[in-house]
Amino acid sequence: MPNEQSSHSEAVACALRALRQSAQPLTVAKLAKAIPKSALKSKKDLPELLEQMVRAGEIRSHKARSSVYWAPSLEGQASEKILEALNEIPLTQTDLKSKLRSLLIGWPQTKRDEMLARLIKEKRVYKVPPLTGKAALLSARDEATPQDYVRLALQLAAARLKTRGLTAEQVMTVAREVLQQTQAAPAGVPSYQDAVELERLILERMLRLNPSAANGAPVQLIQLRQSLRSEISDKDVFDRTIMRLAEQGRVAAHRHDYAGGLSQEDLAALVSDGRGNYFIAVTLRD
Amino acid sequence: MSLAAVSNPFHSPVVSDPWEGPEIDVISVHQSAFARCCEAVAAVRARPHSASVLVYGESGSGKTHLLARLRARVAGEGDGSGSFQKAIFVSAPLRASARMIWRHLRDCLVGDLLRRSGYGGAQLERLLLGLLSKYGLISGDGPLWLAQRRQEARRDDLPCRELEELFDRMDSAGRLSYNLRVALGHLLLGRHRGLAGAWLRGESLPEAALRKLEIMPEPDGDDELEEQAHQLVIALTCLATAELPIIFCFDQIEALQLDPQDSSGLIAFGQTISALYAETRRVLLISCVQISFLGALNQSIRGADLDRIREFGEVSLNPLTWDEAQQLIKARMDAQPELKRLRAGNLDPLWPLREAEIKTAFTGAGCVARRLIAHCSALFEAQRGGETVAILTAPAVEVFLMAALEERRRKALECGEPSQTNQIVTHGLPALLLLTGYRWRQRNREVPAGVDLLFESAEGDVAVGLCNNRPGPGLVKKLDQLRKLAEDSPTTKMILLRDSRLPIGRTAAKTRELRDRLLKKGARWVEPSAEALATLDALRRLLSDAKSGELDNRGDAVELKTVQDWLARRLAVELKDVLNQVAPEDVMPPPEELYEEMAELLGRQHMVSVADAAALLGRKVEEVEACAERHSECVGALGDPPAVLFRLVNDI
Repeated sequence: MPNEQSSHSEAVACALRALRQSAQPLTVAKLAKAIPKSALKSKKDLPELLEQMVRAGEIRSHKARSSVYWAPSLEGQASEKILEALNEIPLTQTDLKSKLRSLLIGWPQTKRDEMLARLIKEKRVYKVPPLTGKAALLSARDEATPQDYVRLALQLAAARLKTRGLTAEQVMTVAREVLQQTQAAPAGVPSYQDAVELERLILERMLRLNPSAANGAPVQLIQLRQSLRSEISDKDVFDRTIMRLAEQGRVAAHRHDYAGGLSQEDLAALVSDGRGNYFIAVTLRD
Repeated sequence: MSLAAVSNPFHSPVVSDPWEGPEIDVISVHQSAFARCCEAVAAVRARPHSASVLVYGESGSGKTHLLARLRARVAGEGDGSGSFQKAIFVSAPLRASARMIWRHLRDCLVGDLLRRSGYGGAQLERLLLGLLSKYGLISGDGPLWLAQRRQEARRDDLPCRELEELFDRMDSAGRLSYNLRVALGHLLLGRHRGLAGAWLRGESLPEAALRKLEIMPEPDGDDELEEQAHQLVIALTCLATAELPIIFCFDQIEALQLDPQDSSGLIAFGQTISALYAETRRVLLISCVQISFLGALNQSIRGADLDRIREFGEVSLNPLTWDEAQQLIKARMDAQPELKRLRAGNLDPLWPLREAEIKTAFTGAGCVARRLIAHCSALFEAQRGGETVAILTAPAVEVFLMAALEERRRKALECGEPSQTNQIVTHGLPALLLLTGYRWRQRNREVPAGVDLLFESAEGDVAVGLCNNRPGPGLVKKLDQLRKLAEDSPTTKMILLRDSRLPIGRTAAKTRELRDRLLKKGARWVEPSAEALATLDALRRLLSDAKSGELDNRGDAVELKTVQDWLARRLAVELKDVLNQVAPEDVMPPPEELYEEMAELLGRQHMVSVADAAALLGRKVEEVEACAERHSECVGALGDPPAVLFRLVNDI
């Protein structure tokens, strides 16, 4: 009896080790290879042994395909793979399921669906509006970013243009060319001459509002914006010009220390760099 | 030696007190702002007027560092060349209430004049020796002359005739009162230094101490005290000369504001600066303010006062450029010889840090010094630990605030004196009420005589009278004013607050009688413990630091709202007790006469047998024992039943 007990324990330990080391679920046949013959009286005993381990909670299986087993920790890894896929780009449910076939090899399909459903329930995967069509997209973020939609649009363009013989790389090259052209004169963005003129205007107005600005006195950006309302009516253009002057080292932009505590209205009056920083005043640099 | 064995050169934080450091000072950083301050010093030397500079900057931009650099320079520490002329330096962080601003400035001015600086003696000595020399009353080595004079003064108790002659010659306007002249004489000759210093600071001294100093008693009503403080500050600043001007720096101006709607503190500050500017000469006034506070300053302070505050100029401490940041980083790393040796063999001038990683701290093409140093500290630790780059996160804000409050409380317990109680309560109590949700609005106008804090509440006005004067004419006058108010305005709830360390003795019959009359009219008597006052002091200091952006949690300034919420959530038990005593819903028992007598006795004798105490106080032994047990937080007892009583000193 003691011998029988020790071989049983050895078989359990070997099966556990094999499952923990594996990146995917294992079939009974593969597990049988991982267990030495001395540990099992007969291969026929293995399914029963594995079922005992399932009942004990040491390993898992799924009724949809009961000949496949995995370690409990593998489910966490599989969930992370799903999230990684959705972190790259939002996908429709169909596209995701198709992708998971190659990402989660060896898993019963029902189990894959269950894991996805669980992630949605736990609010780790979100349904976000699609770029086209009606089917919602699945995303790892609660809101798809503009970058997500641009990538989706490029994918869509690549798919449509494939019928005209263009490769995905060729489509990307075309997209880059288009972007370069629009960057030269984007709508609503001043041309080089206009930008220079705006900068001059701001620097001049700073000195007019506070002549001591020439000696380092600060000028409140709320006041400066108000004073230039007729010349620069667009908030973004004003904000971008201030940030450009700061980047050029011609002015120092002073950050508001406690912008987090301000109302939306107060924040809108400050200058934003678009990265969560708000500036309250500017001074002329030497 | 490896990097792991080198201490982090960015570990020491930025300068938080102008009297500290600066240990590492890169002169090219904020050079133009510093130059402007130096020009202002030169201007007050050149003309018999005062000048005023307003300094702005983000929190952590280096305002205090700039002041520390200026202080070191005028104290002759700087580059050792001695080329920069000397000046007297005074720093006043404005943790004060609007109604006590002159008293606070008096305390700061005297405190710093009595500090040692530069040549070894106190700044006040330097000032007086400079004047004696300027007027030709002494010649040769001033410190040597002073040492001889002090020896003579120890032998025969005579006044310093040269000083008397000096005051007669220089004070044609009569600003230097008899009392001030006497106190300055004592301090110069090293006689009764402690008492003379305490008088000069504005502490209430017993008559015996005044007799010892030969100083005349002065009225000590609130208005008189504030006016006396004003006159004394002006008189002392008038000792400034072209050779030794005074630089008076005002920091934490934001702490004058209780909440965004409260402009009384800022208005008072504007008026104070205007008065200093108009009534002094050879004084440079430097006011430092957070740039986020610029709008509040423009809105609250009267235009004419604001013009005075920035009369000489406005100076901004700009975020560091990349060039400046590199200089600062290299200076910090090369200040450590071991690290400098390790760095010598490296082509990258910023090794072991990397440019791209440092630059992640930059916003709007700049980065303030505090944030840069904290960021580099984390990068250095990551490099030293062999990690790639994992920025160490700052401690959780609760942990940081807990440590910050405890540190301030410990200091307050160590240095707390009853003379500071009025400042602590007038500044701290409104803040405490505000953060605990009491809808009491503080009123600063038409405050009745004798009242120190007046609140409007839904149940009517609440008047707080601080009765921390020593028993005497001043306290009697104050209680009498409050009695009149109680009669004229019976709906006003009245709270009489006295530091528990100041028992009213049995000889103060008039004071007791007036107090009893007030208590019969419904006034309540509140005696906060030393611990409660220390915690209130810590609370107001923490809030002041948060308001002025000086609460630095590894480069991140902790927001005021965060601090207020946290303080409200975990209010110390002793502050809850004070609140319960102040809140009008509760009914407080009247003060216990026997306990007060016992406390006064122990204040004099520190330790006394129960039998002697009973005999001295004319009570039964059992009564004394029972009273000691009821007040075991203040009275220590040995034996069971107690045989000896002693004054319990608070454990820090």
